[in-house]
Amino acid sequence: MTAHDPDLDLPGAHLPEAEVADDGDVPPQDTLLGIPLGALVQVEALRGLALLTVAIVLVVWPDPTDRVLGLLVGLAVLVYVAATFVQLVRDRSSRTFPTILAVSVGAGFAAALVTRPDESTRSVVQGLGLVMVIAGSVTLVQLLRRRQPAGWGASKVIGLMGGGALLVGFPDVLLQFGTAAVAAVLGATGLIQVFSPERDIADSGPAGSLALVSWLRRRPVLAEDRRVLQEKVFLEGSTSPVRFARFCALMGFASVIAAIGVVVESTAVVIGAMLVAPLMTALMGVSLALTMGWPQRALRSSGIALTGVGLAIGIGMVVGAAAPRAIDPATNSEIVSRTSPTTLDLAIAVAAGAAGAYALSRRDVSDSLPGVAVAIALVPPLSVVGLTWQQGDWSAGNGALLLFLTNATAILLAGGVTFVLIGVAPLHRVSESQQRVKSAVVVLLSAAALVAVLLALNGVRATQAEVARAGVDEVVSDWTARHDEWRVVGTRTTSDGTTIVDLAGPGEPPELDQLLADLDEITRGDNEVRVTWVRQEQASVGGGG
Amino acid sequence: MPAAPGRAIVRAPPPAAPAPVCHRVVMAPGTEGRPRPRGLTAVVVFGLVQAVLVVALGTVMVVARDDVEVRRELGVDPGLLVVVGAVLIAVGVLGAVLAVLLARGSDRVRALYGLVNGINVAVAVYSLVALREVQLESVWSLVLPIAILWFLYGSPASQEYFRR
Repeated sequence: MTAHDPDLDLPGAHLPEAEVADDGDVPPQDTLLGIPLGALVQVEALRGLALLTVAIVLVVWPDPTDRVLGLLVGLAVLVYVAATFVQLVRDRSSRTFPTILAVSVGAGFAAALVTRPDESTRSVVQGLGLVMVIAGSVTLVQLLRRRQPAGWGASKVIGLMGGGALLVGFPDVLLQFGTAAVAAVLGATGLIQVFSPERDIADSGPAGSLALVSWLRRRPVLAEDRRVLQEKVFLEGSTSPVRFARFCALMGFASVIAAIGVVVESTAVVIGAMLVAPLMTALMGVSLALTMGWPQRALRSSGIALTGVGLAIGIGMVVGAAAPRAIDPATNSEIVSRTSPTTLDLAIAVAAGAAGAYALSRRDVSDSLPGVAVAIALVPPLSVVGLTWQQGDWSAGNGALLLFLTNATAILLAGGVTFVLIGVAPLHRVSESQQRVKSAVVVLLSAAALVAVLLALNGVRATQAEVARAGVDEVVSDWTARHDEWRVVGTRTTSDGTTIVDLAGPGEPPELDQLLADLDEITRGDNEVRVTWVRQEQASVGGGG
Repeated sequence: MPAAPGRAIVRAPPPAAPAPVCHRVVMAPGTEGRPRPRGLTAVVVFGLVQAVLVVALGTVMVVARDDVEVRRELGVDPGLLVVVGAVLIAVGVLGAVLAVLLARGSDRVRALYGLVNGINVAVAVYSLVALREVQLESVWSLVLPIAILWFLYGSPASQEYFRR
């Protein structure tokens, strides 16, 4: 038996000689993305990896995740119910109304979640919305009784009733939205816990999910950048009238260019208008003012932005009335591409809004701003609104207005978040100053939720239409495969949802009733399906006979 | 007649006043003399009415077992009608007995009532959450069992009545 060699306990003592540096120090450890592998085994890192995994699962499989979560919650409630029931049987003094009611409600709730998780989750979301609406109504009555300035109470009422109504009306969409939001927060927290070089984030303060807040609190305060940003986005001081006039002039030019570009269906011209328009700067001003809690600046920037919006729509209407050529909202490609936004447009707008805030805040990347302006496209949708309203096509105009609202809301929200993340707006300042702009923030968040719901509904409708269209194509394709002498001239869907299949062939189409029945089944009888046909005459000559 | 010497006159104590007859029925131990809460009386009356209706339904089924129209409506044979009717009568009688026992302050019957109405609440909550097609009706079917549970276990008067 050999004596214990204390050197063996030193790090690197078990490494081969070749791997030990000459000076006796331990060689550099293996790293993953710059992080020592040993550090990844720490508790915080493992917790971060777990959070990241959950976030990825939530993003990749949102529906099964909801079901599994519902099931798990149901089982947990079931265990609670069983334990409490045993206690009720054993201990007579525990038989109180709240306990018995809790057990009864819990049993029904758990059974619902376990047996029908999909419907139950939706009902729970709706129930939550109902509770919020009731709480908002109670708060409103209390406010009216006190007859005092509303203040925070009004914001609370708006938030509770608006949010509750959305939850009741659109539970599925908001469930998906909520899942995505939870996934984003979990992912961000997990990333910070894994990649943060300072391991004491979780040790020094609240651990776990609050690591995100801890990290944000430790962001550097970039006061200098904020001053530069303020000069860019706020029209203040003695030069403000001149700058406002320039803003209006540029907005006017951009609106004219965009409206004409839409009329002549020239994408290049429309992109030119995007580069000229200064509207994003005004919206960034609103975002920064709300983040920092400056109500006057928020109000002034909102006024400037609304002036720009009015100019763009008004000029669009004038151009529409004066245009020497007809504008057909149903066929104009520049209009059609802007009248039916979906959540994908929201995703683009969020990314572009964040990029815009980043580029505005940092001098070294300000060259990216034109690209941001093209990506986010604020003026063309407004021009389309003016043009289509002038044509009396309110539906198309409203669709374009929704696209603009999507982009504007995304700029305001993503801009604010980016300002906090890059340190322009310190987190402590944000939390302290929100009292001053609470109503505006609540209205903004409610508007964002509403826009998200409308986009999701529009996306669902568009997807259903695409699916129905694909089904129609398949049915018609099968039919023509059985009847070689017939061909499909075209398949189209009118604005009222009617699907028209144009056929060409000799005489009357064979198996017409079967074809119509198949088409009706594909569209589930929701919309009319019409089959038209033209008699195809043909003459031939030659053939080598 | 004068009293005999050496004998004291002992006056008989006045007869004790008869005990007040508050309840003709035998009360559960500890509940004698306590006024029955109105909510609990309402639950008892509801239970009795329910029991009477069930007994009546059972009786009708037994009596009308040979009625052609009833058989055509229900689509069952007379033998089954008699069995179901008898079961209903038994259930109704049992319900009436339980209601009477509850009125007397039986804590076990209160627990049984609590169990039955707790199950009713659970079923209503299940329908409310999982069966969206009957969601509105489920709200109404929640109200009655919750009210009964409140009268049995929630109200202070009820707690006082059942305290032993």
